[in-house]
Amino acid sequence: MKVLDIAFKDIQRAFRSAFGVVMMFIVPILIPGIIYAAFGGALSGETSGSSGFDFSVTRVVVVNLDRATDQAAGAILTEFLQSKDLASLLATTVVKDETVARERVNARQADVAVIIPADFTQAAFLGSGESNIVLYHDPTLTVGPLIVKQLLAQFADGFSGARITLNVAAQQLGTLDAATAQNIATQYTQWAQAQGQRQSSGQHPLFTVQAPPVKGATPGAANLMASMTVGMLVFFAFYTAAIMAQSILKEEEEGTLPRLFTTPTTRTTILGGKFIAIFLMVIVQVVVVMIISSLLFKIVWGDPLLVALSIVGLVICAAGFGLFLLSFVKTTRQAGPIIGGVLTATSMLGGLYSMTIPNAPAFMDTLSLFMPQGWVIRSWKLTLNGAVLVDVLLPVAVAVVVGAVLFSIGTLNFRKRYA
Amino acid sequence: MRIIDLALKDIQQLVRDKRALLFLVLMPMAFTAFMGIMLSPPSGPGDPRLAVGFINQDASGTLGAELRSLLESSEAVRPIEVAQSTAEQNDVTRGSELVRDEKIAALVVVPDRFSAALLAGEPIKATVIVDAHRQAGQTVNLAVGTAASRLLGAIEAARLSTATHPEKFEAALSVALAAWQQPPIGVTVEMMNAPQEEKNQVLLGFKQSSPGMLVQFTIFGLTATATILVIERKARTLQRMLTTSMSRAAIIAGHLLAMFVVILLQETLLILFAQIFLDVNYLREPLATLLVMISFGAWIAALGLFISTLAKTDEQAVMWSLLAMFVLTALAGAWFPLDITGPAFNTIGHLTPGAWAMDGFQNIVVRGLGLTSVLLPSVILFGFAVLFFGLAVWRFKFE
Repeated sequence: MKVLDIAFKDIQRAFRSAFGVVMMFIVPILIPGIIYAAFGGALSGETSGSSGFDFSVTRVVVVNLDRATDQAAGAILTEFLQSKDLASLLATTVVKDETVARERVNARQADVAVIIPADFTQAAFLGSGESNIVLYHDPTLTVGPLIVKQLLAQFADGFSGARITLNVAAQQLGTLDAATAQNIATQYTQWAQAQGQRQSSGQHPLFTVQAPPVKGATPGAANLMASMTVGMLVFFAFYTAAIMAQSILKEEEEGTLPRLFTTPTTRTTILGGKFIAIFLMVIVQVVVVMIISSLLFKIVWGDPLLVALSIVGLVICAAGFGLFLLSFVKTTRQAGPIIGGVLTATSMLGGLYSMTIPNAPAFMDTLSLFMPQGWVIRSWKLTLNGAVLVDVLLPVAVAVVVGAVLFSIGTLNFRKRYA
Repeated sequence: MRIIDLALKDIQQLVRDKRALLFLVLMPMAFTAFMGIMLSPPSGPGDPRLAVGFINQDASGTLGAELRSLLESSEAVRPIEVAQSTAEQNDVTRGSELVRDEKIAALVVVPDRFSAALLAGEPIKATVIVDAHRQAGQTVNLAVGTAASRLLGAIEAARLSTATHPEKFEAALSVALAAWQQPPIGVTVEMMNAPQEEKNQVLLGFKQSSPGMLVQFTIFGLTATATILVIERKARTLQRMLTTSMSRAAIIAGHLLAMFVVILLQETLLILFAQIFLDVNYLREPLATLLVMISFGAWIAALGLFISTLAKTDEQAVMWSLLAMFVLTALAGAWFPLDITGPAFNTIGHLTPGAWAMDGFQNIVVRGLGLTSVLLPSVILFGFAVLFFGLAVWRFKFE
């Protein structure tokens, strides 16, 4: 079984290289690991508390320019932003000057400034004119300003609702006396507060949220963490296949390959051993990375049969691509940039880097079909999303066919070279 | 002069290598453009708001249509028909599949008797089919929540204002709904120092990808620059250098200078690429940009020197450089803004030099600030440069 001896020798050599081990096993887990540390349960769909993810507290500086002194809407809003209920989200300080508030944001001493306009009470309670609360923020921040904007919008809608109610009442009933107006406004405010409390408990009184259906019967849609790990898994499987194929060039340069050709071992056996090494190494890498990722990031890969099929597609496609690519390379010196450049470009176009980006351009989906990685990632996406066998078969079949064709071309090239 | 000669030799060696051009310049340019396109908000003549399918099964009432109208006025979403023919008009299954396939961000289904039940005070709910784990899904939830609350607010306004004259309810409701199309109290968002046309846009696109990829690929460049010293040590060139009249300090300085110049050159090309082709305005504050480039370059060069002391082979130098790139780039906020991460990650991120480089560049191109805003990041980067240089000198071996 010389063919297996050659394969095991190549695998042994790959495991002896610290660089190889790091790139095959450490980096594909390190990158998702860092992201996991950054986002925690938010990406894996776990829940810790109500939000499932702890954001940094947003530093808010409020300037209340509201001219009203009695029952001022500006004061109510300021008090709301300083309330204990929001302390886990906001750290609010109050200043008197708008310029100071803006300067604090500019100097990054605050994340957002809330500027309550001078006519706020006038617009909110006294029913004249329009008024806008200004939210001024650092453009590099995303989550904090969004949270504050939502809070302000809800608050503003509360005042708008009261005013709209009074205007409607005035239109329908004629001029309102103070007591009636007060009564209607109070009733509306109480109603709005009750609605707000229901919504803060996560339930909207007017709609329910349902998850979209999955393609098959298996429950458990893919989370971002799983998608990201699959992206890394596919990229580094292709990388490993190419690096393993590089051993043919390395042995040629070191003179061991020509020496092997002088032994009674046939060229087919020697090259066959190297090809088996590529397959085995990619299989080992994929299985190890999947097991470690499952344990560390609690990834549910999906139906075992579909996972096995996706692994087959990945391994054949990656091995074929690696061999095909390296069959055109003359020296190991050329190999580095060619592996790096071609794999980066095809992975980019194959959608490996964009699969977790929300609202990625639609053309990316079409473009990915022209890359081997695009079909591989498609089968994994479907598997993670709980698809049925019929759905996964096509991308797996395409990946296998593409891999086989590339593998054949690579083999022919190498056989020609060493004929 | 010998330091410069030695540096020129290293630079010449690197520039001759065609691989270096690919990894140091072309690949980061491609990544900057690619990631920028991926992260940019939709633009062009079309409506940039998220498409939300809307199925109104409430044939006998008007409140379903009113909900749709309130959604139309949202800044975040736009309701669209999911049906391609009359037969598909109420095809919830088809709409759900469109959500699953990410063709639309969500599907809102208004049930039969929606209006009648709402007006009678009976409990009834529309259904929103959405992947709430995705950012787009969360945005839709907020937008639908606002529209639904306004619809309920209008009904309540009509009910309260016509409590004594119920016959006027419909007219009152109509007035309230019209008023909610343009509520009197609103929220205006302003971003610091952003030009007028950008004030309502989130930080996305090239302004995010350019500093991020610059930081990532400058560290990645060490795979080429840091290996030179390792190769020289392996080939015993460093040892032979000691037999010349050049001092040990001068030899280290020469190699360090070469690394620094190559990094500065790489930064310059990437910044010019972003400035000319991607409209990322680094040159609005040329001095500030230069200061961040120099301080960042000094730290990267010192890191390269340090890596060359850790690595025994050129393969190890590449490995350490790649590990440094992955870890330091992620912690720097080059892949995603640190403010969207947890508090611990955010804090740890700012203990690393990459985050300060990101701060420096973003202060110029995103925050629109000037020279004084980059002083602190630059001082910290120089501090890290000194620290890594000290570590490198402490570990440096000529053999």
